[in-house]
Amino acid sequence: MTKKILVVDDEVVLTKMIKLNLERTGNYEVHTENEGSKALQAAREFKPDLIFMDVMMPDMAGDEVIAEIREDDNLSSIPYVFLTAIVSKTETEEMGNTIGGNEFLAKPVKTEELIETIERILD
Amino acid sequence: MLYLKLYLKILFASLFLLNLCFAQELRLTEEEKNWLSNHPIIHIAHDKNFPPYEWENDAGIYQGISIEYIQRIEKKLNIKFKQIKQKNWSKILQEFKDGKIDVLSAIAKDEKREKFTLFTKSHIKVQGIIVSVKEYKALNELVGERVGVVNDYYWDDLLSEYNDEVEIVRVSNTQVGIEMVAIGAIDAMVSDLASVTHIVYKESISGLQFVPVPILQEKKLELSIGIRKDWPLLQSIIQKALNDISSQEKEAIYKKWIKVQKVSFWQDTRFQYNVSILGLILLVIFLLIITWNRLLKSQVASRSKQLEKANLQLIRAEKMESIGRLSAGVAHEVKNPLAILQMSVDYLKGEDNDETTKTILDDMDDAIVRADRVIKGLLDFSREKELQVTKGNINDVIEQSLKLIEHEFKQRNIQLTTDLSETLPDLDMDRNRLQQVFINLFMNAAQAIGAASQTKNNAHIIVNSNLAQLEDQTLIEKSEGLFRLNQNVILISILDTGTGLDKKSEKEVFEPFFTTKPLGEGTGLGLSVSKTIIGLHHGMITMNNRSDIEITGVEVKLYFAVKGEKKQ
Repeated sequence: MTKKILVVDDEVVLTKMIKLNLERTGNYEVHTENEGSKALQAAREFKPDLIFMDVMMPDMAGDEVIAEIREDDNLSSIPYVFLTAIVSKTETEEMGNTIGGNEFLAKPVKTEELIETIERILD
Repeated sequence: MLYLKLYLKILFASLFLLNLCFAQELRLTEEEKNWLSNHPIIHIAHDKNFPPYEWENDAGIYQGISIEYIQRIEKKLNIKFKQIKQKNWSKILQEFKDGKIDVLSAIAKDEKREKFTLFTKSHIKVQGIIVSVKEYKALNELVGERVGVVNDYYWDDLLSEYNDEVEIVRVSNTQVGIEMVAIGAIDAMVSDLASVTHIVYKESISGLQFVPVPILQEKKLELSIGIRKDWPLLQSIIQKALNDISSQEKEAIYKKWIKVQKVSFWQDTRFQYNVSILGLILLVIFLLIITWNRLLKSQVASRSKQLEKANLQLIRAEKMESIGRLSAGVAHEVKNPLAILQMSVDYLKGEDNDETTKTILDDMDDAIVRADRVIKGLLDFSREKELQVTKGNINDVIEQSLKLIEHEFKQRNIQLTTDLSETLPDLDMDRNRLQQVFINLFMNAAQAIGAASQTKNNAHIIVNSNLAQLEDQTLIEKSEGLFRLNQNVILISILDTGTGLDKKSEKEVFEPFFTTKPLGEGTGLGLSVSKTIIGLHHGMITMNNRSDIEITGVEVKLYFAVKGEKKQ
């Protein structure tokens, strides 16, 4: 059974590529959303198993979106992973991939890292 | 109208008082007036040969400064003294003692004479000098010499004190004495400036030296009018008359008779003495100025150095600032394209590729990773400024960091030894940042060992922490004021068994972008950032080759100043 992944990031080409790479494995169904403000709605409609959320988006910050989503009882149990551009070497390698208790991945991220993360969380 | 009256009153009052002042001097008392009436004849004597003060000229008339004074006194008192003439001064003195002479017009006051004389306040002051052919600079140079003085003169009395050391030759008058000096019959004469110059001028005697001597200067010859001891009223009468002579008059008399040939002032030993003292003082001042100058110069030099240093630091900080400011924006702008590239490479790798293409794709992968590292490193570097400080034990941070690094050590077969003192006091620190530093240092150590040799069985990392006292002077100086001598510090040392540092590296190791790692493996920002973080904790970090002779490797030391008391 394919796992449903919601990817929220303002970078259009990136989300397109992530979708391409993940769906190519045949294990995943990916929905992309490029506007943070529309992510809540997308989550409600798509009902993903996991959300990848970019932190720095022009219209709305990723953590705000997550906060919104979690307020929805239907969606509050969905696991999420932040994708962030602004994180230092230290914060990725050396502090484990969590900041403030939240899982994150630092861009540029490899497809295998995405897959590894998905499998780890959803198992 | 009222003011005018007041003004006039004051004017008259002051005029009256002024009049009184002047009139005062010559207000003889009734007693004094009576005395004068009762003593119509008062005998006076003058020195026959004491120019320019008093002497008898060729025509037999007595003249000179003293004579002028006497004449004025006679006028003011409306009397006439009766002159008694004698052969010489000694005789005059004798007759004066015997009561045959009542007044001496010019006599120097001294203790000896006070026994039989009443003196007025001195009205003529005379400077003493030594006259000679050869130059005598001081009285003590006259020791053993033949020195002339006029018999019974003041100088006779003066020089008599040196009777044992000086051969005193008594002469009848000043001129004789001077002539004797001129022909060499005596070595020197002690007399007064006015008399001598008068004679020298009159007789055209040349080739003589006049030296005012300090001791003689102090004992200026002061001439007074001498009155017989049993006529005190006459003393006060004459004194009053003397006082009545105005200073203008005095100056006029003086100028008339004294043709003072100024003694070349540089011969004056006192002058010379003063000059040399002055010279000495000036020299000292000069030296002080020079040393002060040097001091200032060196201070300026060191300040300039400090300034330069501070300037460089500032420039560096500014650069970092701007890098920092760029980083956030740049990071985002660069990372997204990098992310896209990464995804693209991932996709292409999933296709059927020939070997060349596979290699190329792998290289692209590496390139992306490298670019990413740099950005991440820059972010690290630019985030240095703010600490989130809590109090805690640094051993905890060390242990946590070691936990994270454990697997790296195991992978490389590195033995770990720790010796963390249990009595370390707590420290104000940003745990996250310090953890970052320790991880960085441990990773460096591990990688250094890895670089040395993969198969070494003595791959070893030692971590120590303890409380210590700073005694190393060079270190204290290096700390630039952070530490003082005997400062208590928490000292953490990390030792590895890697290859150690070469000389060049030792100096540059904390510079940003310095790295010994091969291309692609490290941005070289770690140590620089670590140093900054340690600095923000008011600590110091050093990195040197180990002092052990047999073991190569690096020793990193961290120093943190301890304030307050040790906690158990």
